[in-house]
Amino acid sequence: MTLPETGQAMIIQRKKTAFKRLGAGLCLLGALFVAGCSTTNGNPAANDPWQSTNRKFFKVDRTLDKAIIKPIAKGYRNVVPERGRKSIRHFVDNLHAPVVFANDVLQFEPKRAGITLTRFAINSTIGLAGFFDPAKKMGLEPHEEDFGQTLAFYGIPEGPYVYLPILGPLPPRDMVGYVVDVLTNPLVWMGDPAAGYVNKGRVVADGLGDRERAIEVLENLEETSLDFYAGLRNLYRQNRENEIRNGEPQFDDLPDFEDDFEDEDF
Amino acid sequence: MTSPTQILKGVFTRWLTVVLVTVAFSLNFLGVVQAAGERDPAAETFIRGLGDQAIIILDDETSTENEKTEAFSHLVVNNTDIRAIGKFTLGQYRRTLTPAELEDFLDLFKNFTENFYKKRLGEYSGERLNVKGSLVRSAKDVIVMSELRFAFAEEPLEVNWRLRKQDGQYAIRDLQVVGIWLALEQRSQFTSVIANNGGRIDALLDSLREMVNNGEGFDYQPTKANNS
Repeated sequence: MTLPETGQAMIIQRKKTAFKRLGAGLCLLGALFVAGCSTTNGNPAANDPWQSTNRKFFKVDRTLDKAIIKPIAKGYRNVVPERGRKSIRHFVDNLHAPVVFANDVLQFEPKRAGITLTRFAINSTIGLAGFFDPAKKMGLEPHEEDFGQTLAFYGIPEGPYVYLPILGPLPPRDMVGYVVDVLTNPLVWMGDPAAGYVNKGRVVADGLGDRERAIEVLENLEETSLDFYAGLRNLYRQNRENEIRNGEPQFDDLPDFEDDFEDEDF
Repeated sequence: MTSPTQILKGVFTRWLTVVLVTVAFSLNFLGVVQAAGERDPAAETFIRGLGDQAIIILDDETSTENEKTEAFSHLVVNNTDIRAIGKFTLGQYRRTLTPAELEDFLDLFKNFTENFYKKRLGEYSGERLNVKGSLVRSAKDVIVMSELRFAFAEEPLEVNWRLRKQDGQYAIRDLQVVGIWLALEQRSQFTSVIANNGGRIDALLDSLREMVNNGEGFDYQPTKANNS
């Protein structure tokens, strides 16, 4: 389920100039990260020192989403039957396999790397260029990895919360991860214009698919939220932690319910 | 005639029985019987029972949608430690509330939770709950692992229940759906509303009241730029 990724309602690939801008932005963010660590605000536990800017961007995104992205996602659902959407998703995921494989290796996960590689080989051939997922039927379950998770694996903290228009939640660690993932995708450095078009199509289809699958979840969440922004921020973080653990349950570090002081109920 | 030895033996046997029963009861009461890391079959039965009851409610063809909604919401609320969750969602601000404010909040929170599950009833149709195991964290804290199987989806949804065990009874404290703890998420929203309104609990109470009365969410915006 893509529920916490829903802040990234739709990811649009920028051109090379955009990478340069992102690079410059990253340097700036690095500086801000250091500054942000020492910032205190009304709710330090939220670790969101640029909250007012983030909220503005979030508002922009919601306006965009209501006016354009969500209607397109709904149209996509109405026009393309479920089987078709599934095939597109398989195709998009398969194209992302090299990045997943690289990060499996970087995280010393030989078994998962093997699964990714085998899945890629099977689905790219028998699976007709990835539109079908016969590997799953053979017991090779798909999984996701990205460089943000690899950085977390090496102990890099997430940093303060950052929300960017279109791109959604991208705190410093995940922003670096995102840029690295974009740059390490073979479709980007192949140099072939066709590969470039395929990659752009992949990114748009990926974002659209994510948004389509999240239509109900996001609507429900918004309806039952007092502070949608803060709710999504928490969902993003919890989901990232879960992804970093590769979905393995972990019940050691749960918060206590009992208060330190008198409490008649306990 | 009963000899003094036999009397003593009888007294001793009875005393020993009382002691053993008391110890067993206390151990059970304290939850010491199950060590941390072990399974807790009773907790699994509790969750399985809840799943069965939910299915009976949702599949009942004789009741109207409204009746189903009411019954389902009651089932959730009656088996949930609403007061403890409510206090938890206040985070660090819990300490700043007067007893009267806390009671106000907890009343609103109960209504809010009922509304929440009423709205989400549709999401639970056609599901089957499959309990997979459990883990004792401490004498009063148990996790039950389960998965929800949908009628129309291939993939089951991983759902873990955090339970409070007291006097042999269980109550839900938190629910983890695909890695997301819901009470934690709720706390992030409540504390954010309070923090962005200068630490005033009134802001949260007003927001909750509005939501409970309207039965709708609303577009929350911080009142001032004090969130820098």
